[in-house]
Amino acid sequence: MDFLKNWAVNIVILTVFVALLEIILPSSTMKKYIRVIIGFLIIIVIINPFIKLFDNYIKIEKEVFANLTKGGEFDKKTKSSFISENNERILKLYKQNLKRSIEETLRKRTKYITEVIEIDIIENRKKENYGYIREIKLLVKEKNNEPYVDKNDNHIKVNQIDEVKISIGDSKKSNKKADEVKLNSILNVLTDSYSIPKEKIYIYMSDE
Amino acid sequence: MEIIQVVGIGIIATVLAILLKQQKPEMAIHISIVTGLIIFLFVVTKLKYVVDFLSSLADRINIDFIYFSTILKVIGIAYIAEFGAQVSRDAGEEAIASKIELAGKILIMVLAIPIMTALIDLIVKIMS
Repeated sequence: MDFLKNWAVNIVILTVFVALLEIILPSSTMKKYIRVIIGFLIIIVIINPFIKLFDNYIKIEKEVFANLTKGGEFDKKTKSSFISENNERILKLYKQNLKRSIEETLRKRTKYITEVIEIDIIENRKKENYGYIREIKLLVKEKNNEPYVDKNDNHIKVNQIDEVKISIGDSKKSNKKADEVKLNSILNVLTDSYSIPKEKIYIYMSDE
Repeated sequence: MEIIQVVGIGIIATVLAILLKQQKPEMAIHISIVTGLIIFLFVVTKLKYVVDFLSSLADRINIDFIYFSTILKVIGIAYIAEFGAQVSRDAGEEAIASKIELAGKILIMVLAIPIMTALIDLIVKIMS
């Protein structure tokens, strides 16, 4: 009984639908053609339950799709544009994931957090080294000593405070040296885990 | 009251076109084309509302969305072809207008063919 009800509802809604369509139809020679197609639609709606009655395996949607792919040959241009769009999306996602992973490793294995990452990768699909990192620029900042809160853990972990060293002498020079050491640690981590050559990595320290 | 705006634009353009027709007939054609475009664009934005309602209605029918989008595409093609044909007809290019209409008809038929062949296949299957 349920399918009868469905059928009736379908026919009623379709009738309303067609009545509305008739209003917005342009009043010209085109009207005939649209009416033919609407007629097909009505036939399909009316015939639908009978198809189920005779054969469970016929699906009209499938038939239309099959015929659509046959006629789809002339749509090559849209297909190629679709592929290029897709490729772009893949590239974007790849870059995003790479950035996130670099951020994560640096946060875990060094004392720095990254503020800005710029990655330049080889985007030419035809090249053999597609996806290789051409150049990477980092803006890093020293990790604040503010407690790092794990999202899954309500306890607050207090990071150990580094020993405070006071040195007398040419403070500027030692600072520079210290910076170099720090940068080297980042470089090492990056080359270790991503096997990026050192000369392709540019690191800038944030002043804050 | 959009209808007043549309009719206002139409009447002004008509008067201008008539006045200009004696002195410069080619300007009259320009005016009619531009007016047609303005009114067309004006209404096309409103049409979105109607289309949304129709799509909500189509969602309720247990029928694939593909039919609905086909019909909407057909109506869109019909409108655009009609518009182009009328503009060319206004400019006195009857031949171009009929070619535009022909193109519209062919494109509509191309869209309708999948539904048609599917229907025929189904009927043949049921009969056999």
